[in-house]
Amino acid sequence: MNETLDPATVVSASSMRSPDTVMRLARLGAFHQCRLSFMRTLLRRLKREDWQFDRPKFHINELGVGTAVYSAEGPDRTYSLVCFGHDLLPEQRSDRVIADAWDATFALFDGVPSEGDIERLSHNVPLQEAGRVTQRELCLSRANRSARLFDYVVDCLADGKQPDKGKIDAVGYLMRTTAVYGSGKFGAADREVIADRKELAGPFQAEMLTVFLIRAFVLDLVEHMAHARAPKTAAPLDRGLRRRFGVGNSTGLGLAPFIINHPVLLNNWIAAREVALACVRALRSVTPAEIKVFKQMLARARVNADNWKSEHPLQVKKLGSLRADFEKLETHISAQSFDAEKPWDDLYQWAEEHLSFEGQEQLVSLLLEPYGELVDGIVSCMGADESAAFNIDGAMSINQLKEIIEDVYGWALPIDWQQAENQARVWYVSEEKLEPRLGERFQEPVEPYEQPLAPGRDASALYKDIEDWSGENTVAAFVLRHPQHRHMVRRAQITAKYPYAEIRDNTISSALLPIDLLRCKLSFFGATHFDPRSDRWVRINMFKDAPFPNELSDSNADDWSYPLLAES
Amino acid sequence: MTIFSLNEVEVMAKRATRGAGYEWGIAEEAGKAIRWLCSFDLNGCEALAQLLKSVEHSSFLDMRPTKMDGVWTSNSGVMCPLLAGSTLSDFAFKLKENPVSMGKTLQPKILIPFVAAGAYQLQSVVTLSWGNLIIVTNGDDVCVSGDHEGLSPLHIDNITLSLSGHTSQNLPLSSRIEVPKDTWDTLNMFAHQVYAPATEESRLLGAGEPIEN
Repeated sequence: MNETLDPATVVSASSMRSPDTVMRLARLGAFHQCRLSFMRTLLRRLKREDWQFDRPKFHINELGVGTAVYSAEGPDRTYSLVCFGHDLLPEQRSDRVIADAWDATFALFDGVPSEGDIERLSHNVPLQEAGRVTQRELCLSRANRSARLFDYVVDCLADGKQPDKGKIDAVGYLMRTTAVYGSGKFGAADREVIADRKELAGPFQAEMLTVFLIRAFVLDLVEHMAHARAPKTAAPLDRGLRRRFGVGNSTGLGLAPFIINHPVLLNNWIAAREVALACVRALRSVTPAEIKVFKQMLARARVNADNWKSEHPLQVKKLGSLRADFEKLETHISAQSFDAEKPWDDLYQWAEEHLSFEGQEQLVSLLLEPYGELVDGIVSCMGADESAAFNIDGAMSINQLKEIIEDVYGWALPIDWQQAENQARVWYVSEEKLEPRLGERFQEPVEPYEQPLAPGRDASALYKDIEDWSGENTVAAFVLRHPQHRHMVRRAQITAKYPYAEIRDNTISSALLPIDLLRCKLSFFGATHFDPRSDRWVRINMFKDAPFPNELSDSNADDWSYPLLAES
Repeated sequence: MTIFSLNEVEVMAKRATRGAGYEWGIAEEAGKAIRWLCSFDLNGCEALAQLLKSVEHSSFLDMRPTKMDGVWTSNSGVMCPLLAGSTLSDFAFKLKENPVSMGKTLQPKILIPFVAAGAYQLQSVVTLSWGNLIIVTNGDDVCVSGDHEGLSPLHIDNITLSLSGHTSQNLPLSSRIEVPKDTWDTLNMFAHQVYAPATEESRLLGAGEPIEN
């Protein structure tokens, strides 16, 4: 935990929001980024440790085809992004897992790659899932150009002009990644290989570093292509405009099961945020400086919400709620003196009563902003060793297991799981490139392939079979007789130790919105604009407005999540 | 031979075990168990591939331990190490009372990670032996004395476990594993049963084609 935590603000467990409150899909699907997010954690570290960045190779032609290497040197190690640019036909371009060609492909190399490494990677990285990488590669990724913006920007720069700010902001990125693989996939290094390195121990730090360097490549790429096409007239991007480009990310169902399949990790992310919130709410008084930071971030977050665009009806509705919430929040705050004891706690409780989940969770994130010294250290608690909680505790009594189920899955027990709408969906994996999909149980023949992603239903089934067992009996004896419940018994036991491990909502209902699962995870990444493209695809923008690697040393590394107020 | 990461081994072992017809709970445990074996360079994939082939047309319920007083046995007279292993881990507390003897078990090597899990839970050292082999584990480390060839029989008739021993000359850890092509192909064949066939409808509906820009 954070060593600078003032003992006066030590928090008891009872002052944290209960899992019944937090772990609902509608609320998780309204999460906002905060200072504990992984992108911000990365940049704070890169600046604090004065990482050095270089571009030892850039052999790219006027079409954007070729090879480049970007290096990031930290106090202990160097990491290199190896980039391959390709000539992709527009009709080949797809964000789907089933795509087999991309505009650019990448690998994050552990160290400095030799020419032999680059040669090896050139035969595999462009193939992505169809190739193999080695333990020297930590991440594998690919990105596609924005059809709306990429050529437009190259054309402008080639003519010596700057692209229009409005057109930039309408899209926000030149390229979007469609996967960032780590953790041993396709032969890459397992998580365990890097888990003890302080710079990569935090969740998704290798992936965030990969995307941060991809951004540098993409911006260099458009400037280079413009210059290669028209060396006499081409201009580089204005520094201010350059920062407006993030790296888009297109996320679908591949990510959705993650927070269900990693219960300890999910618990640790949520618990960190909840502890941070409880710490801030417990503060007896606030200083004028802290109020000022809060109010500034509130105003900036409001601009962010005003700038947030989406055409999807679900998101349009949420944005309506969020904007209305800002109106109410600003009105309420303008009448506050912050003199009472525990003013942040008062504010949060007011928000719970008067704002939608969007506004409530936006406020949660904002409350943390003035308190970096108090809460930033908690990011060290956001990793997890899922294997430590994996083994079933056979010695547990049936009574104890029953109590856990009633406590954690009480919401699921009264549901009639035989009703069609309650079991409408089936999570499955297609043999087509092993793409994760969500099917309709009663319309498609996919039930035999169902993945175990319905803990509510499974807990209910477990409870029915356990009802006849006497309380003193052991869990070991029960699962010996009922092996079909092993998966669920394990989950239930995990939740007893990790209270935020389980989503307390039906994940196979006809009303399920997979984008709620995606938004929860992506908010922890640090995303600020979620743009659903359906109920199961989301576009986000990563590192938009952040400094570039070579700007970190003379910029604030952690002040980019929301637009500056000076801008319109 | 291809070199695989331990994560790839775990995912394949889990899917192959499920594809062979085991429940998801056992499949997950198989993933972890085979990964554990591979992390000590103990050819876990080969053991699993052999096991799944040999139980292919059997009834799993008849291969789990049903008699646990005296020598553990199953209804069919031969035990599956995934089912026996998970039971051993669940009932690890029994080792505090008495040593455990087990009857005929397929691919006994697969028991070792489950015994390690039990040792970890008990915060103790467990010794597992069959034939001329003695395997000692405290949950984190494992050492093997005797002929390593004896680790990989198709089945063994007699196994004993007790809370005893100490680990020394522990097996080194490996962060990846080479797996023969035919072994991986066998596992893949079983894993394939987990995947839904690709259909045009599934492609259109299941992932929701995003709107391109």
